[in-house]
Amino acid sequence: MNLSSISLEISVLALGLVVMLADLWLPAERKRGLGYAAAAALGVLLIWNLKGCGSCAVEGVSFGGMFVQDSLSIFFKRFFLVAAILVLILAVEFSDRFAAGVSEYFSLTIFALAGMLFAASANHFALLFVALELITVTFYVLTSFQRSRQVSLEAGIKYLIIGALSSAFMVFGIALVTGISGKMNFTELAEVAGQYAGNKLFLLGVLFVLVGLGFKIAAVPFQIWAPDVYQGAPTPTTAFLAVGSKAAGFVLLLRFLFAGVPAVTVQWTNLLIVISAITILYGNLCALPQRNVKRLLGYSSISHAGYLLLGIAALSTAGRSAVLYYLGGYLFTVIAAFAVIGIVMRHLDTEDVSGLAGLGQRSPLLAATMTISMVSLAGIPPLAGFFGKFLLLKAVIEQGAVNHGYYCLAFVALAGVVMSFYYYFGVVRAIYWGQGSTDLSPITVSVPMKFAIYVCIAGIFFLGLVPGPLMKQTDKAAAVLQPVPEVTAVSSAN
Amino acid sequence: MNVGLEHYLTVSGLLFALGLFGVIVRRNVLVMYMCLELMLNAANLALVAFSRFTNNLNGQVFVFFIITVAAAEVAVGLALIVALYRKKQTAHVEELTTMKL
Amino acid sequence: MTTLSYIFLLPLIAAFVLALVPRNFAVIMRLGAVIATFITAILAVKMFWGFDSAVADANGYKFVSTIPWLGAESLGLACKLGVDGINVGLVLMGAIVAFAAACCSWEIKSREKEFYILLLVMTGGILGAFASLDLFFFYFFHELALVPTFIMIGLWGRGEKKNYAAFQITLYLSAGALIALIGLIALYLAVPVELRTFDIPTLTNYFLNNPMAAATQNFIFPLLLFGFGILVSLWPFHTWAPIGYGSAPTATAMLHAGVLKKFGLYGLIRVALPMMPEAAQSWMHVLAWLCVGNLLYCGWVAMQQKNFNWLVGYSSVAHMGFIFLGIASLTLVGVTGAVLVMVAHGFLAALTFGLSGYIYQQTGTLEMKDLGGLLRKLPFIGTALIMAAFAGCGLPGFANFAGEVTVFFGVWQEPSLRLIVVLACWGALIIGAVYMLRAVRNVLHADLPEKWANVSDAPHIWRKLPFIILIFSLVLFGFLPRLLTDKITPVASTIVQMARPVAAREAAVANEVLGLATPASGQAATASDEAAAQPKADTPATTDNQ
Repeated sequence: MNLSSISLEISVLALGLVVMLADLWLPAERKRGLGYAAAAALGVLLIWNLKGCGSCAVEGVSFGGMFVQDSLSIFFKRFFLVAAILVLILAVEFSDRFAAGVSEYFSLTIFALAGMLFAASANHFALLFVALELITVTFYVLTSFQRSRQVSLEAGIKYLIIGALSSAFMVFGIALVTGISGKMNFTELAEVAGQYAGNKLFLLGVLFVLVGLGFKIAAVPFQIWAPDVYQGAPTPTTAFLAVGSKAAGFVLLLRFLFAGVPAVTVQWTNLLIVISAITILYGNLCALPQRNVKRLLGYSSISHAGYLLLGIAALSTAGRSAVLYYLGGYLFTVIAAFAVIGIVMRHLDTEDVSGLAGLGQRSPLLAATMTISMVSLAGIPPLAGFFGKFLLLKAVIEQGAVNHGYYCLAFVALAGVVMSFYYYFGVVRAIYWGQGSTDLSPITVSVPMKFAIYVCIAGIFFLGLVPGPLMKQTDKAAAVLQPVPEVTAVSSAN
Repeated sequence: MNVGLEHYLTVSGLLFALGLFGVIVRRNVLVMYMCLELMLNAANLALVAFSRFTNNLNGQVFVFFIITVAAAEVAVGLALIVALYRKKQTAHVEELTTMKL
Repeated sequence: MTTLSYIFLLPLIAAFVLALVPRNFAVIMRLGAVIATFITAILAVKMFWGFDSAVADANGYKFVSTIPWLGAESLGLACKLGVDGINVGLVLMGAIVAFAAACCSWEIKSREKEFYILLLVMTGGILGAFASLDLFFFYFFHELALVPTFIMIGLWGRGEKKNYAAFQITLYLSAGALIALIGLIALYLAVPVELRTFDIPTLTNYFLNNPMAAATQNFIFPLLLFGFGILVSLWPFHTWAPIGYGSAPTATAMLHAGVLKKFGLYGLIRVALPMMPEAAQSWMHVLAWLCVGNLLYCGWVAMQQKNFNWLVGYSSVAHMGFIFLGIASLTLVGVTGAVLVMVAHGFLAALTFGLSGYIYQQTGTLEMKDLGGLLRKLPFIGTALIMAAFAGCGLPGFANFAGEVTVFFGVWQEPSLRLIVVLACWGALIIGAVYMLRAVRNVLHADLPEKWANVSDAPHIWRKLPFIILIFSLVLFGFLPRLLTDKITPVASTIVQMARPVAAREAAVANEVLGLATPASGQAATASDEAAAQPKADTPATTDNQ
């Protein structure tokens, strides 16, 4: 029992409990400040982690091999902390639209963060399951938090049913995999996976586990929940869902596929290519006619899951490193977009794209932020989204020499990107020269919100122009999953 | 007859399929939820069966995890369903049509 | 930090500074943009003037510098800038056109801050793209212009179709750019892992010594050809150009048609030809026949146009045909002519769009049936327009003539393309003359309608300045094309020899035609090995002929 290795998670859980209890003693008008206090506390934890806080940054396994701390998990823990801080600031901005339970919202967000932190280090099916469920169940509540809004409750129900369904699939899959192989720890499983790679029941189990994880990242065919949930949930929840929950799904997918059952992953190259291609096409095609901004971003997040799957399908360290880099850029981009939506939609009843009209005059800062965010999502230099897509395309084309399906995948990705230009630039158009808004009063942005927005913009530009530092981190993190029988024709030394 | 692992697994698979069928076909949210629980329990059965026949206790321990988490999920889920019922006076999933494609 | 890096950084820094200035000071925005582009233009002229005496590095590039921090070492990415004979003219043209564009944007009366920031970002981007010696940043800087173009056409554009135009131009250009990106990535990956880099000189040297497999070449070259081709409005992917330029504000059209379009052609010459010679030879016939589409079809469509801006747009697409033809010939003379036309057309397009922008500002319309007799009211602008029209027709004395005639001579040396030369000479030049002269007659001569009685000419020297500069450049390079060709020819001969080793015979012919100095023969020795392996069908395999 090595408690110091989970000191970060324990601190976060304690913070969540403190926030929940503080609600009892605080007067009503101070409750919003609780959110800022929680964000500040998380900021302290992040700085503590960056400085190498004692033993929580020490690499190694603990709890009988269940909990692993390596470059990959440290990368994702920092990722989740940054996401949670920004989301909490956004939540405070949004909190006057909650009828009751503002501090519960903050503490639930922190509990979801704790779940994500555990997921980053999961090396065992039990921890994978518990962490995943902690995130998912917390998000059931967070999604339906605005009980007076019907869409919020409906989104919650849809997320609940589909989420529980995929959990059931995943548990059955885990049952099959662990039953046949006898191993629950990923490292031990990797050693024996090769023997069972031909066993139909084992493969079925792996497939079912992928169903559960695929739901989390909103990949086709498990993506039906995404647009509705993105549209119906309160904006800070959507932001955290889009960034944190998706990244948690990806870290678990990376660990399961490459550290858990690498022998099977290598056999299923074509399946991964096909799923990636269909996800990209589905997300982009369905986003084209959308008028609701949050729903549009929901479909676009499906397509981004597709792009991220490109990196996984590439089955190479370069591909995994690209996935991590892309997620880093995605974090700042999506939170910036939802921050703007959250602020602007306060003044309007509608979530239609035309509601953004006139934003150029009402608040140049918000207009510029939304434009930068949309352009980064589309993948245009000099922003983070471009470099991430560039790395993903490079990883895929590199594998094209081995399997020509990768070339087709690259062209599908290209088609997807061109399609996405249409709706992302449609938002930019609405901001600058859209008709539809008669209200041109200026929008004020609170100071903490401005801070969060500036951090996001700085992040987007930095990751687009100066990729060196983050690439070092992502290469190191991706190399952790290295002992995979890499199927490359060209010998890759890195 | 000698009841072996494959019998348990078949039953488990059948339960899982029944639960899945129920989720797809039934229209009442509460019944759908019960079918989901049935699917989870099918997995529990499979785990216990594997654990019994391979003499590995890990499976049975995992079942405890699943039961606990399922209970938490049920608590949250039922609260959600009740809240929806209070708002819409219906528990039929076809009536949830505010958000279209 | 050489002159070149200042040329590239100055517009971007100016854009950043303008972003900090409060938006009310429209005058400051305008002045700031004009001054920044003026200094950039002066620096570009200085660099051009000092080009011959500057020291070249090992690969023949001058004014080489690397911008720190940008890029990633692990991938071999570095923001390296440098010029040689081919792109020094393009950088000069870009800087001068940018200054002219900044001066010509008097029509922008609202939201000047955003406009000038976007204009400066576009300028910095395109100058960086021409100067870049790194494959990744080459693409990167060109794409910087995508979003500014979209916003400029949407916000300050004209006509009811501006929304459609903005989307069409963005989707087309991004599709072309992405196709080219896949080609560039594949090019990067064609090198073994240890040697991988995005550095263009290193890659060129590598592929000279270790040619790529034919299958790989035939995969990458079409990607680059069509990707860059879409960016340059190669027929049949040209429809974005007329509608885009017709709806764009003056400065955007000047920069885009004049400078941005040349990026794809420069990419073909710099990247595609030297590194993939076999594929170049097999695909050049396809390119040559497609550019007949540019020349004839687009010229014919230009004749049908009723709107002056659309006519100029189609004419600029047609002129691209000459450049493609020069590249397709794979001869020294042809490629030199192509680069000459690139520079000349840059000035020409900027001039024409600037003038039409002035007319639009005065009259509010560019429909030729509504205009007429403007020469009496606008003597200066009218004269400038007549000069632009003649330059477009290829009148000797203007740089376009020098370029076009060089292209024709160059293409004639490639026997299989002689028919195209005939078509181009007869078809394109005559068609060009018809629509340009007819436009001039409709706009400037004929009767003056009552409603234009109050239009006024360019009032003071500052309004006339951009046009004066552009006409001066056209005339200068028209009478002294040597200023450009002396710089272009050594590099072009190297590239052509890499692309087509048996070009030495044509090089000898070229010497007679243009009275040029002997081109660099350093590569001839290594290229002659390849010459033996690739005999051309109708030229006798000459071995050593220097």
